[in-house]
Amino acid sequence: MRPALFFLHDDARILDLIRRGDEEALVTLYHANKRAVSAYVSRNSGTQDDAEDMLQEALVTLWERVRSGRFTYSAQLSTFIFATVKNMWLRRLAHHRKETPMDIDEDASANGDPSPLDSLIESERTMLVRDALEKLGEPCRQLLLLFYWEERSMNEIARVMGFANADTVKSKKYQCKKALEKLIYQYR
Amino acid sequence: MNKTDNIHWTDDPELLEQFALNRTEASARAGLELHLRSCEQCRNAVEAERTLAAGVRMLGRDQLKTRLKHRLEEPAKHIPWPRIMSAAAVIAVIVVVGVYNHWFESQELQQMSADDNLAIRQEEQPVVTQELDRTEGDDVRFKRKLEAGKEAPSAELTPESSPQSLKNRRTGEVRAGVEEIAKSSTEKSEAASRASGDKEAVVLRGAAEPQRDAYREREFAASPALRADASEGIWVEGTLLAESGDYFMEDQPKETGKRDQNELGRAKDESVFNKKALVSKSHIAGGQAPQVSQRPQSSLPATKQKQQKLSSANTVTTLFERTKDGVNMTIFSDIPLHQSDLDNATVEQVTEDSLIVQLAQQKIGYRIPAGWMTQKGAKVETKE
Repeated sequence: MRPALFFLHDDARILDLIRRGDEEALVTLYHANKRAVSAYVSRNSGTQDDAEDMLQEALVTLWERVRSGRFTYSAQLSTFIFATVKNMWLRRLAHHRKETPMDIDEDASANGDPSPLDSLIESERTMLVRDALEKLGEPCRQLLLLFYWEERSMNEIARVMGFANADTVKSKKYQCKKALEKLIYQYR
Repeated sequence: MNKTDNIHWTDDPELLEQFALNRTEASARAGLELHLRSCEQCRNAVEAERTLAAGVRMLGRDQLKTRLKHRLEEPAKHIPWPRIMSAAAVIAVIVVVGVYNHWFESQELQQMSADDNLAIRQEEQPVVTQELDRTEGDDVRFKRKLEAGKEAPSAELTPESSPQSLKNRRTGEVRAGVEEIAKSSTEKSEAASRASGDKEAVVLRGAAEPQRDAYREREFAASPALRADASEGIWVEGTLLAESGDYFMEDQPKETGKRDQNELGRAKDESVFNKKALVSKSHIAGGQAPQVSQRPQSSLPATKQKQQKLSSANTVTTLFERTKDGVNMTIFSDIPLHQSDLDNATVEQVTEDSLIVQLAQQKIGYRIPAGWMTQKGAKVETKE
C-alpha cells in the first residue's frame, strides 16, 4: 500500500519538472486526472471532448502559474486541477445558460463586469494581437512570451535567450513591440 | 521627480508594463490609478498594453495546448512499461523453455537416428572376440562402479541417448534406471558371447553400447509388435512411389529422416528405380521373396512413432527381419489393406540395395544395406 504522504513526492517532482519547462509533467498529470475529470464533466451535461478540453485548460493554467511564480502549493495538484476544471466548467455552463455561477474564481471576476460588446471587442483585439504574434520572428515571439506569458525577469530572459544583460533584453523587447505594432496596423 | 506625479506616466514604457501586468506595488498603484481617471490617453495606453499581454498569453496557451495534444496522441511515449516488461519477461521464459525443449528433443532424435544406422560387418573371428572382450570389460567396470559407491551414476554410467534414461534423469529416478540397465547389459553380454559361436560378426560401438543395447532389448520385449529374435531385423523407411509408374529415387537416399516429393522429383535420369524394373517382375536375387505383413502405426515402438510423426507423409516405416524361413517385412502403416493384397504383394529387387514392394495399387521403394536380403550367416545388430 502506498504511504499516505507519497503524493507529496509525486507533486514535488511534477512541479520541479514544470519549473524546468518539461512538458512531460503535463502528460503525467493528464493521465492521472483524466478519469475524475471525465466523470465530473459527464455528470454535468458534458461530453468526453468537453472533459478533455477542460482538463487541458486546467493543466495549462497550472503551467502558467507555476512558471510565472504565482502558484502556491496549498493542496494536492489533483485537487487544484479538479477545482480549476470545476470552475471553468461551471463558467462555461453559465455562459450557455446566461447565468452567473456561484463560485467563479478570481480570474473570472476581474476588472468588473464589461458589457458583452466590450467583451467581444476586447476578444477580437486579443485575437488580432495573437495572430500578429504568429507572424513575428521567432526571437521576438519567444522574448515576448517569456516576458508577458511566463512573466520572467529581464535577467532570466537574458540568460535563457543568451543576451548579454538585462539592458540588451529591454532594447530587444522595445524593438519587438514596435515590430508587432506594425504588424497589427497591417492587420487592421 | 516622482513618476506618479508625471501627468502622462504611461510615457514610461517600463512603468506602463509593470502597471498593466499588476507588478507595481500597492502604494504606487493607487496614485497611478488616480491619474488614469482623468487621462484618457493614459487609459488607452494601459488598455493597449493589457491587450498585448492578453494576446501573448493566448498564443502561449494555444501553443502549449497544441503541444500537449500532440504528446497525448503519441502512443509510444505512454506505453505502460511495467506491464510491457512483465509481458516480455513471461515471453522470454516461454521462449527459453521452448528452445530448451526443442533442443532436448532434437538431441534425443538425433541420437535415435544415429542408432538406426545399421552396421553389418563380416569380420574375422579374432576381431569379434576382441570386441566382445572389450564389451565384457566395460560391463565389469560398469558393475564395479555401481557396487563401489552406490552413488549417483555419472553421465558415463548412464546410456544418455536412450529416452527411458532421459526420462529417468528428469524424474530423479536415475539410480533405478541404471541398475536395471546394468542387469540387462550383463544379459546382453552373455548373449553376445553365445552368439560368437555362430560365426556372425557383432560390431559394438564403444563403451556405452552394452547399456544402450539393454535398453533396446527391453523396449523390444515390451512391444508386442516385435519378434523375439528381432536382433536380426532392420528398420527401413520406405517411400511411397507415384502410382503412374513414373517413380524413382535419388542416388543416395537417406535411410532415415524426411524425404519429400521434391526430393523424389530430382535426378530423374539418374534414378535407381525405373519403370522397367517393375515390369520385369524380377525376384530377390539369390534368395526368397520376403513375406509381407502389416501392422498399424500405433504398434510401433514409441521412439519410432516419434520419428514417424516427424517424417513426411509418404514415408512408411518397415521392419525387415530375417528368420529361419526367410525374410519377413512388417509394414507399419494405417493404409487399409486386405490380406489378399499382402499375399499378392510383389517384392522386386531392382539393384543390390534397392527394393520395390507393390501392394495393391501402391508401390513402396526401399533402400536396404547391400546384400542384406540374400545374406546368410551374417548376424545383424539392430539399433532398436
